Amino acid sequence: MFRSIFYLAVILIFFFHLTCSSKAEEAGVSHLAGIQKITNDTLLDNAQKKIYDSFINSIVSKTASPLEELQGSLEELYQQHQLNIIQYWRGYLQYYLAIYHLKSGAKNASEKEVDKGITLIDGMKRKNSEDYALLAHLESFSTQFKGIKAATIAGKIQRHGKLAISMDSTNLRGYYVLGSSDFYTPKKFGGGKMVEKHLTKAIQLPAQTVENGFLPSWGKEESYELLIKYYIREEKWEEAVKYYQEGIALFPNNYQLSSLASKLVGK
Amino acid sequence: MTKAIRFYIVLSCIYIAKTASCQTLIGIVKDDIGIPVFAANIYLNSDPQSGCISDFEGNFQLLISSPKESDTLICSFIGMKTYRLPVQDLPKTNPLHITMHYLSSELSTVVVEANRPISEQFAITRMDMIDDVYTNPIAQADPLKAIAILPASTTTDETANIVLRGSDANRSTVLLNEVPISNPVRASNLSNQGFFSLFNPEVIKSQYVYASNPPLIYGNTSGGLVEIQTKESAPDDSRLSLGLSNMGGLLARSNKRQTRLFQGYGNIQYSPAFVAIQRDKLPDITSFLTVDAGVNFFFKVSPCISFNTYNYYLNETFNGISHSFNYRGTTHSERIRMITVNNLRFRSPSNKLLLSLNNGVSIDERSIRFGNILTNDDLDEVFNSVNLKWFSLPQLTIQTGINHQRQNLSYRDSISSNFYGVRPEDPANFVTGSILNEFLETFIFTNWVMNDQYNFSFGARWNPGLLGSDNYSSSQISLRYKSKKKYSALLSVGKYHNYQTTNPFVRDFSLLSSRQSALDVDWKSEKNEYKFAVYYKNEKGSQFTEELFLPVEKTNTVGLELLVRHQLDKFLLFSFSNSFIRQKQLISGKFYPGNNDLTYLAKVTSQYNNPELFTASLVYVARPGRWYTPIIGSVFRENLNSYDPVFSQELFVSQYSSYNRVDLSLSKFIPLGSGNAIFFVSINNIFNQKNERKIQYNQDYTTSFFDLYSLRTIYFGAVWDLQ
Repeated sequence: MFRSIFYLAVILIFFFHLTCSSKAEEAGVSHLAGIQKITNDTLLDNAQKKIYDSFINSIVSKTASPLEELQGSLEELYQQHQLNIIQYWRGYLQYYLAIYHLKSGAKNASEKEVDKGITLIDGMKRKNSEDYALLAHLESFSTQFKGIKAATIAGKIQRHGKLAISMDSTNLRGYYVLGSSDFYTPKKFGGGKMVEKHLTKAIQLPAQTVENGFLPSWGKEESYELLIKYYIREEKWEEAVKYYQEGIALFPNNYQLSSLASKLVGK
Repeated sequence: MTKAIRFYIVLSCIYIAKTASCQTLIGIVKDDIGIPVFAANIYLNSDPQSGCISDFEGNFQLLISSPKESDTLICSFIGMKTYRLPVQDLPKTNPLHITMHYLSSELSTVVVEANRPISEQFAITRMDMIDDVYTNPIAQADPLKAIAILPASTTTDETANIVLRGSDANRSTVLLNEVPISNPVRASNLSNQGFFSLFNPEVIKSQYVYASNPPLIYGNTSGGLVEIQTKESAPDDSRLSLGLSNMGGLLARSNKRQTRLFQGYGNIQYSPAFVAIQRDKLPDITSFLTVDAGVNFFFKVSPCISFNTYNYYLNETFNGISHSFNYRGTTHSERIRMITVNNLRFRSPSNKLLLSLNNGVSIDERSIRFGNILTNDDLDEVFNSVNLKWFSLPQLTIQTGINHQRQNLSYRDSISSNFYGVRPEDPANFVTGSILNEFLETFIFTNWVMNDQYNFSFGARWNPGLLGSDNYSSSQISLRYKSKKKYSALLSVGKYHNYQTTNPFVRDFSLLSSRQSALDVDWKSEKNEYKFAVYYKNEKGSQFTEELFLPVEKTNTVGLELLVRHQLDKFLLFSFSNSFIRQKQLISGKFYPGNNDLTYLAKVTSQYNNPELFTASLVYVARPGRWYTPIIGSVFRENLNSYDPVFSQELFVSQYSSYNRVDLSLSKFIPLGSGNAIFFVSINNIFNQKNERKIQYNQDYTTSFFDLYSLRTIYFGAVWDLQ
């Protein structure tokens, strides 16, 4: 009997500890999850997706309100925590605000929003590779409004894009902005010569070295889209089809990519 | 019992193994000044997808299951050096404190633009080749001529010579890749006035203009400074150009990794067509032929070492008509110029040090014949320097170095005995000789970023008087203020020295000095730019007036500049500038108006740039005429059968008529073949204004007339980009 009681006690103690450990783990996990939950509730978790979703909502509802609300929230957050990453997302949001206004036909408003984005990013101290890539991206978008100054801005785009790459050679967004700028530069001004080189490099790189919902991951889909457009423009159909198939396999839900299919039919 | 013990031991092992396999690591991530790092990635090297992210306070909790001692904890964030810690070194109980260090973005900027001068923020203007050179008709696609449109440019002779804020051209320096280039102009006349520069805008990456108080990183300038840097990268390009008086080509190639760049160009400039269609507008040009070629080669040997060589050759001849006092006759000039500029740059792996070794060699052989003047000179120059840039702290940059320059001039001249008697039959003296100017200088220049708004620099340069040269020191301080509202001000004060360049009438490398102070203020908004400047210069040294070769003891200059630039709409840019310059030169104890004594110097430009349509530029320049000393009579000299002029007792009492000139240029892009072409036409002085350049006389000085600046001339051509 004593032996049975002893065995029972050992078993109970064993499972008690395991249970406590599990609970401790759960507590640890929930504590961790608690931290994550707090963090996840911040505006910045998946900020990129939130901004894009707000942009889509704005397009659908034909009002800039979804973007403007998010803009206000980010501004308030920046006032609490003066972090460069918040400024980055504010600048990124400005880009989509500018696109929204352009699609709505309000060119002046579009120019104003992209200039605001440039001011936000340009004013940051200790800019890193992502900041320079976004700055070049905004500047590239702004050239369509700048007329006589476009050539000067082109020089800035080159400089900031190269800075992005020199600071982090694995940042695909640096290569994307350089390729994009060259794609949209008219051939008569020397454009189109470096598109292939930069964009093929961009698509080879990972969107993020380590997955992080707070940091940017854009650029890969856009690189595929632009590369395919470049090959279509140059009538290099074999390459266009190849990269289309590659891109659509990776991003099957990307509307811009899938819309290129019609241009490749029969090629 | 034995069974029970075995049972218990097995259970215990299972329990220990289970609990020991899980560990929760608690920690905090901060940067090197204690600010928490948000959104840093913390993970094990073996399992990057199971990491965690730090919160706003930098806190994190990482659940580690089955940690291996050989594994490594990694903490990373963009723009910061990745933190690594072996798992075996992880604390067992206390939270882990991680300190992250920034990768310096300032030094990365240096990696991309290693040659960007640390004095850049003190430059008055950074010129853009497209905006300021190609589309500006005054520039005529020449980088130095483009400077003429700046309010700080006070050139009054329609040449490419650099005249900044009233300082004579031989006080200012032009640098190519940190090497001084003397006489950087071609198509020159007797006074070294050249109509074009030696530089091709296609090889230029940047051009900085320091209108006054030039940074003492570079020496041998007491006026202003133009700093030119050649390209280190460029897309492949093949280009042909054809114009009314020019034919040329350019080839640029780089390797795939952009570590090597080759640019080669050549031009032939010829006169027949250019002169034939407008002979009455070019009465003083008979013919000219110029051949020049250049090669720029950049090689990035390794991530830390780069080499650049720029080599240039020029051969030109000119035949025309020239005037001096009462003589009008043919002039002939020839010139051969060869320049090589070589730079070797080292960058330390930490990006804190940049060392550059710079070498320049120039051979300049010229001969000029006019009346009884026949000059032949050969100027050989060698320049070597070692410069070190040290980015000691993020806020403090120090540059120091040493340079050696040797200028050897040999000449064989036949010069008129009297400066006014230049007829072939007038007496002349034959002079031959050589002069050597050799000096060593050392300098220090510091730039201190005090805070977001203030930037202070100090520079000093010293020539200890070795190698038979003068002993002098130059110094300067500058303070730049930048507000958050796109407004900035620059205050500069300094003392400077340089050796003047020689010409056939002044065979002397004499030392010139200048004390300068200047305040420049500028404000930029989205569509407007306003610049204001006030400056004072006190210049000394052995100099002579242009006309009468009178020794000038000193020159005082006070100037005001105003520039307004406004973008009227997307394609239209308008600018207006005006300068007021009060310049007095001391001659024999009395002050007289200087060459740049101008109550106004107005420049108005408008540019229309619509790539889909065309580009057009209109430039208007206006200023009062320069002062001169009239000839009021003459004395006949029977033995020479010539007349000696009698000058007015009062010097510089007469003034040429006001100068006004309007230039127009148009260009259009057109796709052509596999490339594109630019067609351009420029009309200089479209209203054919007769601007007086110099007074001339008949043989006995009883009648005067005026030698004029360029009349209305037309030039057109095309550039075909083959690639």
